[in-house]
Amino acid sequence: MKKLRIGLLMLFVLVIFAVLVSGDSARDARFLPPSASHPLGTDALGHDIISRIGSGMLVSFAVACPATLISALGGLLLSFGFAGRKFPSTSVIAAADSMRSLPPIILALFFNALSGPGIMKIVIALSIGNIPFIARMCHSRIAVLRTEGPAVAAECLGVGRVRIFISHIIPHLLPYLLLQCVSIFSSSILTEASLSYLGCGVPPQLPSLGSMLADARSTVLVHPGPAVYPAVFLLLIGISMELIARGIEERLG
Amino acid sequence: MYRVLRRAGIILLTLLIVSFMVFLLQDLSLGDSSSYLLSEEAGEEEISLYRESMNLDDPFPVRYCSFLVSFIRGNWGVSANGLDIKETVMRRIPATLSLTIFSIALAVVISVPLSVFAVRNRKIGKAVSLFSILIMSLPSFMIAVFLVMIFSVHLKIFPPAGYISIGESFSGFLRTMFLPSFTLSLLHSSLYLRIFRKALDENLAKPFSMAMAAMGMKKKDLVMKSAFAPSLPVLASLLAGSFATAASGSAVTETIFAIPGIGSLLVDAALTRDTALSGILIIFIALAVSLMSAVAELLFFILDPRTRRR
Repeated sequence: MKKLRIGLLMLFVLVIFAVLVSGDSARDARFLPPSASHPLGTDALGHDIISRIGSGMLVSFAVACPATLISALGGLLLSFGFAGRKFPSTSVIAAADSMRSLPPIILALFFNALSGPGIMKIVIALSIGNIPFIARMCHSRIAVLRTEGPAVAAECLGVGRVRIFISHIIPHLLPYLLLQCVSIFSSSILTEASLSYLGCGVPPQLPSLGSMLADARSTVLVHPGPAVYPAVFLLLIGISMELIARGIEERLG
Repeated sequence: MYRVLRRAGIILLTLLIVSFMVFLLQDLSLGDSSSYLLSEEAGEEEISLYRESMNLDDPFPVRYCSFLVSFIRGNWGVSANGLDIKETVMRRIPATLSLTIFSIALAVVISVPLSVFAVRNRKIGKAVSLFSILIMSLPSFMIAVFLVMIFSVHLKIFPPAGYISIGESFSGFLRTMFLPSFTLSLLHSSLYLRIFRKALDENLAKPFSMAMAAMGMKKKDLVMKSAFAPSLPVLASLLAGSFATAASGSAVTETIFAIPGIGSLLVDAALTRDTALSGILIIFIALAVSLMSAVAELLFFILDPRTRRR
């Protein structure tokens, strides 16, 4: 309970912070120390670090949110299929199992080779990479739920498929789906950062926590600031998501 | 037997799905290679001759089948900078393979004893949870950078980057391999710690453990003697799942540590927009991952005495 609350609060504060400080500021001198106009100083190109961190976090969320939503939607659609009797569940699960050997980073690198960096491509790669895992989880949950009392009773009473799905399957599936979505969200943020660090993530003109770290790599021993601050915020996002995930897990028991 | 067949089917399906996706996307994004491979003055006749020689006029399914057949036969074509893809890939396998095996072995060595201690002692358990939360919330490249800072810049024990093949010098190989493998193994072990520990806890609550506890066995012995063996199948499926993580982790780690492996080759291909090379590479990686996880899973399946008897 405590973990969930702290995690949600942390995430909320981080999002508000990102919205408040993000923005394009004029370039200043390089490697300025922290001051009133640049609370965290400036980086190797004279950008204000704090506003770049804010924008970078917003870019991360802009990648992770649609990826998570698409994966969740895909999972729900497949679940509706799994709940039915005529759906070819076995072949779908086999396909999901075989797709699990292609991680999102690898797929995103391939898309990058085809047509260069882009936010949409990362989102698609993340969705394709995550749906198999959601499908597997939903399948094993639904296999249990479908044969349990309420769903069977409703079926015997002649209740329609859609209504059984909405009133007897979804409520029991949702917590697990939510847990999976939290872990997809945080892994999406980490994946985007890793890809941007490698130079294959979001387009170079957009700020990203990963590319900020990559840019600061060569000067990190002399000027640690530009590398340390984005790293700290990445860590904070990660910890808040982990806390939320563990909190949900504890509640599920 | 059913398991073996299903696994083999899944490997085949992986090959089919991934190669189809690669071919479709390459086809869509490249369009007609005659438009940029031939000079602008090329007449109608030359173009049609070229198209015929490359079989570009064939319908899509036919071209896909010939692509698949030539992939299976090991005829992987040429990369954008004119090198034979098969030769390049083969040369880079040893580094990635040793990185993967080292990292998974190291992860088992780290996480299995730690999970046992964590279950035995609550204080250690809390510390272990904190450690795995911290590792889980860091991207792998940041772990790599931290390790380089500690071990190469400050302590100067291991080189920050580079690769010495096992044939050149064995100690050099170990020294260059340690930091990248350790980075990847931390990534694996954060997951192992969480899941394996949960399995140990669950098995401690099972009737057979409770009976042993009732007979007066101390909790210290209970974990190893009663809960450990029944938890091993969980570790098996974790190991089988690790190869996918290893593949994506090695793309990042190999690039950071400048190791000439499959992962860094893929990153290079992505940066230089080498469509042919990256396409072959992701089919290769998907196939290798599904093959390795199948082998890992079946190995543990054979080792499990409960399934042997049936």
